[in-house]
Amino acid sequence: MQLTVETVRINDLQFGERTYFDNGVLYVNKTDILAFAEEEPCFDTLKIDITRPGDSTRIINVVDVVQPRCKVSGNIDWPGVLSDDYEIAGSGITRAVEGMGIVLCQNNTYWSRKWGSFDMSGECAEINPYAKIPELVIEPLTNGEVDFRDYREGVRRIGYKTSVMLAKATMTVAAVESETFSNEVQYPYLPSIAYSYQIYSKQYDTQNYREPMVYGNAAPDSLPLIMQPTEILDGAISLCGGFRCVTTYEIQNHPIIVELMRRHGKDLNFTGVLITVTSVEAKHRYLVSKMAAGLLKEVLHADGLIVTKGVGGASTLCVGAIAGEAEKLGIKSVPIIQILNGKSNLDVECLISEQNVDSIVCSGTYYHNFVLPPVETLLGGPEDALYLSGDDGVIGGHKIATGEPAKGQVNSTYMKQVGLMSQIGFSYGMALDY
Amino acid sequence: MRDNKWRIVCYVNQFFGQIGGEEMAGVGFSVKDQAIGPAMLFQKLLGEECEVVGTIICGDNYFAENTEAAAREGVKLAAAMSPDLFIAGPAFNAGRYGISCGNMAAAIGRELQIPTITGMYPENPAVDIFRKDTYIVKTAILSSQLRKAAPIMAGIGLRILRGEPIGSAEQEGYIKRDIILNEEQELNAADRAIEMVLKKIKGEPFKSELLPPHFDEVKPALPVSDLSRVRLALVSDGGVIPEHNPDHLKPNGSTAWGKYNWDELIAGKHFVIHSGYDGTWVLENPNRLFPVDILRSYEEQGKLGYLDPEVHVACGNCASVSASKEKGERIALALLDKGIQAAILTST
Repeated sequence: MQLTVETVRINDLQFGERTYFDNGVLYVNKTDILAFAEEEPCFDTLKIDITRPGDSTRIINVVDVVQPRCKVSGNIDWPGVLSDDYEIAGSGITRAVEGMGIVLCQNNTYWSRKWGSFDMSGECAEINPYAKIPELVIEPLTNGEVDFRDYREGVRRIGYKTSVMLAKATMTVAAVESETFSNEVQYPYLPSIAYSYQIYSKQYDTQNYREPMVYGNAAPDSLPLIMQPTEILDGAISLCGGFRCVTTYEIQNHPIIVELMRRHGKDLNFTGVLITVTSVEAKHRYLVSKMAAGLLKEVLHADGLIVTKGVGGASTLCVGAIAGEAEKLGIKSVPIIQILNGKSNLDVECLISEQNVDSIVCSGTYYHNFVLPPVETLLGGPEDALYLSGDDGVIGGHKIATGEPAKGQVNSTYMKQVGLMSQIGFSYGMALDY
Repeated sequence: MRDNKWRIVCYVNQFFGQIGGEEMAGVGFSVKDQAIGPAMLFQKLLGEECEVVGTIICGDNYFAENTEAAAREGVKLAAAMSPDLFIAGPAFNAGRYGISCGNMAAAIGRELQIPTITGMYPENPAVDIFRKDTYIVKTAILSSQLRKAAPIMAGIGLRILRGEPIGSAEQEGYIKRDIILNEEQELNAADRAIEMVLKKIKGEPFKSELLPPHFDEVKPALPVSDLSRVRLALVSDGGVIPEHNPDHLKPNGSTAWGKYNWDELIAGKHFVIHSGYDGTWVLENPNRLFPVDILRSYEEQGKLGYLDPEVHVACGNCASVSASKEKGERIALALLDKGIQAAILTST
């Protein structure tokens, strides 16, 4: 499968009378986005704001960041999410808009426990890619109680529709750059690298709601799947829950897939992608890890493997098991994992205990703490919103809210700052002993 | 440049304090209002911004014989000099000297709320006791290496005083204090992983950012010989607790635990505080977490001797190994107190 991503760059994002692209500026007519809310019965309207790098702005209740992208040819946009038509994504031409993000907030429901936020200036902004581009912030407003499933899926649809609309608005100009991704031709004489991508864990879902992540379908206890790398870049995997240290923006620009594609045929051979989910039972984990290792060896003929995980400890055990089984079959394996606490040392806190997995990348500890100063503007929630910590939300059906006023000085963590820690390797941090 | 110099107090043993060797190890505390021994080197290294206002000296044996009392005595002497920074030793591989340096640095840091620094050979037994309480700079075995360690100690001290950041243990040369922090790297994690896997395939050297730990081997207790006579308790990390959370458990990284009468817990308002799993099914039927229903029927049938009416609840989400060990020890003591002979531990 071959996917071409053509890029336009914007210098600024502004509200305008209509949605169009002119002289480097993308103008957005709010009415065009508000129209998407009319198609969602659970939302009254939307609060839409623009914030720029350096602003004294804090965005809270962030569940996702999306890059404007649309299909130019080959496939439809977000099959299974924005349409009931099913196509396998990942072919043809996709237009991507660089230089902005769409931030989706979820402001009135506690039904997601991993709250994300980020500041557009200050200590964290300096190391946050999302604070370095203008952001279009969309916050749904509801009238009364809303089912959290409808809410989540409604937010996702509005975000993705906005993404498609804004990318289409740039079609009046030619792309400045284009890059074609394909691993159809294999180079078996080069080191063959596969990628094992754990997309989901049901341990964080509430009320038996299973995040519909694969072409709009839930895949809670899925066995390993082989998927084309271009599919993933082009809309096969989509998030629909609380923030869990990965965004749609990161999947659209998946750093492992993009880098393996760029080096494909040069110094390595990219053999393919395996999709897995976190096992919540040992029996499932044994099967998934052995099955994954078998597919990697017998079908993808991998010499080497990179394995990434979703948030949490159980997820780490699963990627450790996959890496361990792959190593047993002679596949050199590098998992990317995190440290789950801050008051300890790295000698004892690595959750992978397979002794044959001795090549691990660590993208940080969740609990590197920050004290962030008060801000002038708060987006993503009401003025008097609380800055919920990782300890807050609906936990076991019980609402816990202990946070400080979000507009004031707040305590935050590396994991809670959207953009600082990416499960799929987009972020630059590494954990060290102090 | 500040108007006033920062005040530095140093600590040395009788040998470095120029009182005498092993024969003088029983000597008590004394204070000199100047830099003595290694403190002279620290004065030189710390430069114009600092002044060593005093050196506290104590014999190794005097300190080791009653460490708590000695530390109290030492803190008082240091407090009288109002230091901004305290430097002990370095103690190299000397066991008793390590204990006194560690005790002094820890106690002064805690009581006077000032930064403290010492230096030791990594295998000095005092390292493991005090590494969380002070900066222990790694030294060689022998004191002849003072000139290597002292600049590192002084450098860290000066930067703390100036409010400048201190880097990681490896980068700076101190012993890890059980604080894990993140540092931004040149390459993102994806690129680092690709580099690492290629090196591993080619057999080239690479540095893993983490390694699988070697956990303690826990020897299992002997099996229960007669279930019908045993006193059994239930323990879980699943976090089902009373709504008012009397023991202040946290959804993650919790160091607290509680014991609750099962019938009262279930009859009253309760919830699952553990934020690492979906508590829906435990709330629907709490026996899924604590198999009380089955065990009570065993008790009625005489198959089980006694079931403790209290359940013991912790929250295991994102718990560190050391915090879990400590919780485990405390729960075990509570069980022993009640004469419990066996426990079933359920996890989520």
